[in-house]
Formats: sequence, C-alpha cells, structure tokens
Amino acid sequence: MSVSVPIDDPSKRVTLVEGGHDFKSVSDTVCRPVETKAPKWWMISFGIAVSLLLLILSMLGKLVWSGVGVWGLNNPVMWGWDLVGFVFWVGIGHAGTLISAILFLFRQKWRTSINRFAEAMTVFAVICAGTYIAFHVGRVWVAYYLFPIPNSMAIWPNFRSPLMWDVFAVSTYFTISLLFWFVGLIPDLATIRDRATTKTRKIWYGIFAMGWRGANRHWMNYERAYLILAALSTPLVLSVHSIVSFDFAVSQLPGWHTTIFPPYFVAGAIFSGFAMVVTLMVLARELFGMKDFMTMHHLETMNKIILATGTMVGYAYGMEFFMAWFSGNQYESYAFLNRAFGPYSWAYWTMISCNVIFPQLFWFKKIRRSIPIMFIISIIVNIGMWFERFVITVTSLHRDFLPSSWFYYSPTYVEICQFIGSFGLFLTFFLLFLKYLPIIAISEVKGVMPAANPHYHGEEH
Amino acid sequence: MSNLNESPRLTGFLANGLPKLLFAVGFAGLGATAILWKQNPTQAAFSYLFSFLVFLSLTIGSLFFVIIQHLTRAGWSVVIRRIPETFAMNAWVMSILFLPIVYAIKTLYPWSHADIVNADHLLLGKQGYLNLKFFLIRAIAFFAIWIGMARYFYKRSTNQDTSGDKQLTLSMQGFSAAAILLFAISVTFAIVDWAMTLTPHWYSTMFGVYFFAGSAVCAFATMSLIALTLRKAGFLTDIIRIDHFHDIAKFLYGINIFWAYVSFSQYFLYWYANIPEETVWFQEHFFGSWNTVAALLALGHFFIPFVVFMSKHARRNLKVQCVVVIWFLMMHVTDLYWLIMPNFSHTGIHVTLTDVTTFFGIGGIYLALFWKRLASKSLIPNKDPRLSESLHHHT
Repeated sequence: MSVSVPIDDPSKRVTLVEGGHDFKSVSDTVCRPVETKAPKWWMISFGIAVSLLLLILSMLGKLVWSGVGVWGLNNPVMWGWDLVGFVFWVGIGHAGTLISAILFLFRQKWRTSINRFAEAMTVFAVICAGTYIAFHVGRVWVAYYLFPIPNSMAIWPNFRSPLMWDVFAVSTYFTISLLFWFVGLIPDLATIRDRATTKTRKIWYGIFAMGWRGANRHWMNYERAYLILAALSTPLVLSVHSIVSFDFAVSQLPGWHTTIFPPYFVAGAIFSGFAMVVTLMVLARELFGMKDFMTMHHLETMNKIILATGTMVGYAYGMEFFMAWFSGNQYESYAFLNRAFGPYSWAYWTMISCNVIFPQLFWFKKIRRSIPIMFIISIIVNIGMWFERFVITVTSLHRDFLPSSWFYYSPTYVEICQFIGSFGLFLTFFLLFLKYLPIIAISEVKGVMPAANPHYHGEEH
Repeated sequence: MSNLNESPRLTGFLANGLPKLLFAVGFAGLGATAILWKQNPTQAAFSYLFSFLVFLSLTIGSLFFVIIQHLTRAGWSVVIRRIPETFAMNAWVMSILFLPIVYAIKTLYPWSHADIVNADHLLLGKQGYLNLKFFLIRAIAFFAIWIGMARYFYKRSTNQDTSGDKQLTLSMQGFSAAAILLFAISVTFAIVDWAMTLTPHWYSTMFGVYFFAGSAVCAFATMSLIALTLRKAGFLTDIIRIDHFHDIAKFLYGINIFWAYVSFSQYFLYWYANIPEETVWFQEHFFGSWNTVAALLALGHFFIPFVVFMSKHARRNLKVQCVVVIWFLMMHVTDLYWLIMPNFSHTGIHVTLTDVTTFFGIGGIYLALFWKRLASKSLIPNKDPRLSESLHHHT
C-alpha cells in the first residue's frame, strides 16, 4: 500500500487514487454503501436530520399561518435572517458547479473523486435557498407571481428589480446543476444496475440509468453533453452570485452600494462552498472508508482554494474600507465605522476573524494536512460567511438616513429555528444521497487511474 | 524524461537587427515627445501617461502569468513561460520611464496643487493618502516589488537552464504564493494612484480588478503574438505547438469575458444607483465622441471576439488567432486611451501627435529591451522538470 507523501519532485504528479486499487475494487468500494444495509451512524444521523426537517416544516407552517410578522423584521431592518439564509445557502451551492465545470475546463483531474459529492451538495443547498425565496413572500400560495406568467389582471413582476433576476438566475442554476449531476450519474447508475442482486434495485436504478449500455456511441454522446453542460455552467457560477450581489449593490445604501460586490460575492461563495465540501468530505471519507479516493492531496488542494478565496474576500473587505474612507463620503465612512464599532461590532469581528484570520492558518502545510484542524477551520469559515451576509444585510439597514428610524434587529425563535431546520432539509437529502447513490464518480475516477493509460503495463512508474 | 540537450536560442534579425531598429524608433519617439512637450506640456503629459500604462499593463500581466503558473504548478505552459518572464523583467525600464510622470505630477493630478486641495474639503480629507511624498514612496515601493519579483523568477528560471536544479522550481513555487499577494496589493494601489486619482473625487472598489483584467488580456495576446512571430521566423516550431496556442487562446477568451464582466459591473452598478458623485466619471468618459469609443469597447473588446473566438476551430487556426490577438491588443490600447484621455480632451476623442510619439517612444525602447533579453538566454526553460509534460501537451 502506497502512503500519501507530499511531492517534492516537480517532474512527477501525485497519484490521485491511493491504496493500489484496480477497476473492480473501485466499483466495489464506491457501490458498497448502496448495496449493504445502512450503518448505525447513518440511521442515527438520518433520524436527527428528519427531526430538523420537521422543525423547518413546522416553522414554515407557522409562517404561512400567521404571516411574515412572526419574523423579527422591523422598519428599517426589512431584511434579516431570511436574506442572510438565502445568500448563505446559495453561496454553499457554488462549490459543486465550480468543481464540476470550471475545474473540468481547467483539466484539474483531482476533481473526479469529489465532484459528484460537491454537485449533490450544490443541488440540495440551492433547494434550501429556494425555501427562503418561496416563503419570504408570506402568501406562499401566490408565489407563482415570482415568475412572469401572463394573467388576466395583467400584473407583471418588476423586471428592473435584481430580485426578479435572482428568480431567473437561481432557477437556471438549479436546473443546469441538476442536469449536470444527473448526466454524470448515468454511467454509475448503470454500474449499480448491472451489479444489482435484488430485483427492486435492478428496476429502479435501471429506470434512472436510461438504458445505458456503455456503448461507444453512448460514451461519445455523454462526453459531448458533459462538455456542453460544463460550458453552460461556467458562466452560471459567476452569474448567480453576481446577481445575488446586485440585490444589494444596485441600491444607494452605504455599505451595499460598491462596485467590487459581484466578484467579491463570487469569491465568498466559492470560499463557503469549498469549506462545506471539506466539512462533509472529512466525515464521509472516514465513515465510508473512501480515504483512497478522497486523499490527503485532495483535502490539501481544497484547503489551498479556501485560503485563496478567503484572501480574495479579505482583499474586498480591505478595498471597501479603503474606498469608504477615500471617497470622503461621510455616509459611506460612517457605515463602515459603524460596522466595526457600532452595535453590531460583535458580528463584524466574528466575520473578520472567521473569514480572514483563521483561513490564514492554511499557509502552513502541516495545518493544511491535519484532519482535525481543517475540519474545525472549515466550520469556522461557514460561520464566518454566515456572519458576512448578516453584517452586510443588517448593519447597513439598521442605521437609516434619519436617526429617527434607527433600530436594533434581533431574530425571533421562528427565524432561528427555520435556519437550524434548513440544515435538516439539507442533511436529509444529503444522507439519502450518501446511502442510495454512488458518492464518487466511478467512471471518472477510473479514467484518472494509471490503469486507464493505454501504455499501462501493470506496474507503478 | 526528455530534456532538450541544446538550448534553442534566438538568432538572426530578431536577435540583432530588430532591437537596434526598435531602439532607433524608441529614441526618435521619445526625442520627438521631448520637443512636443514644450509646445503643449499638458497634452504631452497625458499622452505619455497613456502610453506608459499600456506597456506597464503588459509588464504587470506577464508577471501575473509567471506567478500563477508557479502557483498552480502548471505543466502545459513551460514552453512559453520564457516570453512573459522576459516581459516582466522590463519592470526596471518602466521604473525609469516613470520619471517623466513624476516630473509632470502637477500637470496630471489636480490633488498635487495645494490651492486646489485647500479649496476642496473632500480633497483635504484625502490628504493623508494623496500627497506628493506618500505618492512617491508608494511608487518606489510598487516598482521595487515588481522588479524584485520579476528578477526572482527570471534568475531562477534561467539558472535552471544550465543547472537543471529541481530545487529552483520548488523555491519559485514557494515564493509564488506570497508573490500573488504582493502583486494584488501593489497593482491595485498603483492604478488607483496613477489613473483613478486623475479625477480625485471619484472612487470605485472595482478599479484595480478592472485594470488587472485588461492587463491579463494584453499579456496573453502579446504572448501569443510573440510566439507566432517566433514561429514565423522558424523558431520553436515543434516546441510551441497548436495545442499551446489553443490553450493561450482559451485563457485569453476566458479572461476577456472576465474583463467584460468587471467593466460591465463597474458601469452598471453606478448607472443603476445614479448617484451624481459616482456617475460623474462616466459622464466625462461618455461625453461627445468618447461615447462612441465606449460603445466600440463593448462591441470590439467584448462582443466581436466573444463570437469569433468561440469556436475551437477558430482558436486552433493560427491565422485567425493572429488576427484576433492583434485585434485584442488594439482594443486594449483603446481601453486605456479611453481610461486616460477624457481627463485631458474633455469634449471628445482627439488623437494627437504626442499620443503617437509617446507610444512609439516607450514601445520602441520597451520592445527593443525585450528582444535583446530574449536573445540572451535560451528561448525556453530547457531544463524545467515539467518541460517533458509541456512538450507532450495535448488539448
């Protein structure tokens, strides 16, 4: 068994699959969770996830029953945990498509063992974000007005509003991400179908494998579809969070209105998305015994991207602060001083330390390769990114232009429980994915193994 | 492992005749600028700043390329890396060519006049940053960073040509992470200082990113053009292959979209909010025939290459690539012209003789030094440990 060692020889590349696997053992390992009884830890986690899911359902029920007044929003803080939660989840939903699409175009082969995992996470995170869009309208039964549907009252959404663009951007992103995920799954679903020992499994996986026979023609169509979807997803990775940033940046509100918002939001989204992937990957590779595929090299590379994007976010914080001062605009300067030293300074400093300071630990190779530390930092990053959205949303709103409309905003139990419950929604889907679908792209991983090389003669070079 | 045994060197006209010719053009251009400067110092100073920024952006963009290749441990790009390495080494000549801007500070930057500042409470507030002493200290720091980083990579890369020491690659990789930080900060503040404070009231947090994106487009396009020139002259024909050109083209295409994204966002957010102190900059840059230039940039810098270069067949066709990269360079020059010149020529575009003399003056000397340096070493890092990967690169 070969051990993971950091490469010191630049003329060599790291092995992406460790542990001396051959093609059969790859299929065996990845399919095992699908083909065996759910382990105890899974049953317990699933129970917890479903109870949290019930929590969000009851909170949403309460919301629909009583109206959005059950949230703690006030005038002027008309956005609170709802917008924060939406942006938080959309942000997390960025890693999957980045890994699948952009890293694919960049020919980053290490993506193959984590893309399935990250794409699934993307799809579920966007669903969580969607609950906020759907339910923040209050009268959820008329939420179809979010879409420009011709109606007898000739009422149209405001096409000039970035909130409207959000509806298009997020739904497009969700559709493409789902398609991307599903198309990638087809060959692996066929693998499970072909290995199936029970009739039910054979039928169900067979339906979703869509008649895949692994024929040359199938592979050609598959590769082409994959490339086209990657090309379509790439601009979407940028556009979704750019448009989310427009929700804030097109306004005239100090602290929201600044030109660096679009790329800064995208960097932040990738930052939080990668952190979430690391959190879940550290657990999954341990629990499913997939350390040979999700190697230390993968984790280290992810941590480097977290460091890079975290530093970009730090750059944006710095530029905002500098320009707030440089502009000489007293409202802009006040907004930022108030962020750092006003009533919400606790949130601001939490954000700075979680997003800018802690990720800097990843400069050290030892820390990048330490499982417990990276696990903690990845959680810290997502706490920080939640606080970032909170700081942006609430601190800019709670000091309106007239001091008579200055208020402090605190969430009610409904908002808090809804947010906690959204993790239940996410984890329920995610645990079902872990149990019932191959969590690693079997066919793609095989493609990056030495055995896939036509010149391979069965020994390590 | 296949290292090239003999290092490919530049010879003939490109190594000897061309630099001399370019030096002649350069000194003639700068000489003419010096004469014209007396007649209309303001015009000459702005023209000079514009031309300076064009070649600075090439230097910056090339430095970025070198850093990012090491940071990502890229293998494909080894055979073309010597070109941007050599461009980045021109940072020192840019520092000397900066001196006329120092000389013309009072002409260029309104904040350098005490009477203007004292009559303007906004500028008084910015004095802590916008003052002569700190401006010069920053400029020295920026050039020190760029020259230092360019030398760091160039020295190690060319030393490896003879020693083949893999440790050099590791040390370049190690430094590249810190280098990208220094790069981001220095480029942002340099362009804020030298271009944004021409209108000292105006501000945009995106400005540094905007200049950086344009610089990267310029560097990739120039890299392709130089490689095409070498190919035409019969150098490296089997080494820098279609696959490498294809990858350069892809990056160029992607980064140009990034440029469009950044420029559009910067414009769009100010347009939408419509706050006078922010739209003032666009008022100036959209005034009269400048509006046509802005429209040309949207169409020519973004849309036309976006369509033309979308096809893989276009990117892999070197004739098409040659036309497109020249087009890109023209558009990048137009972009910087549009960035700088409305501060001087308020009523509309007005190309003057000094625009031409400064451009050829700076450009002649800059390119002469580039070709001379390129001829002095191997044309590729011929003992780079990842050379074999690059030589066998297929897209």
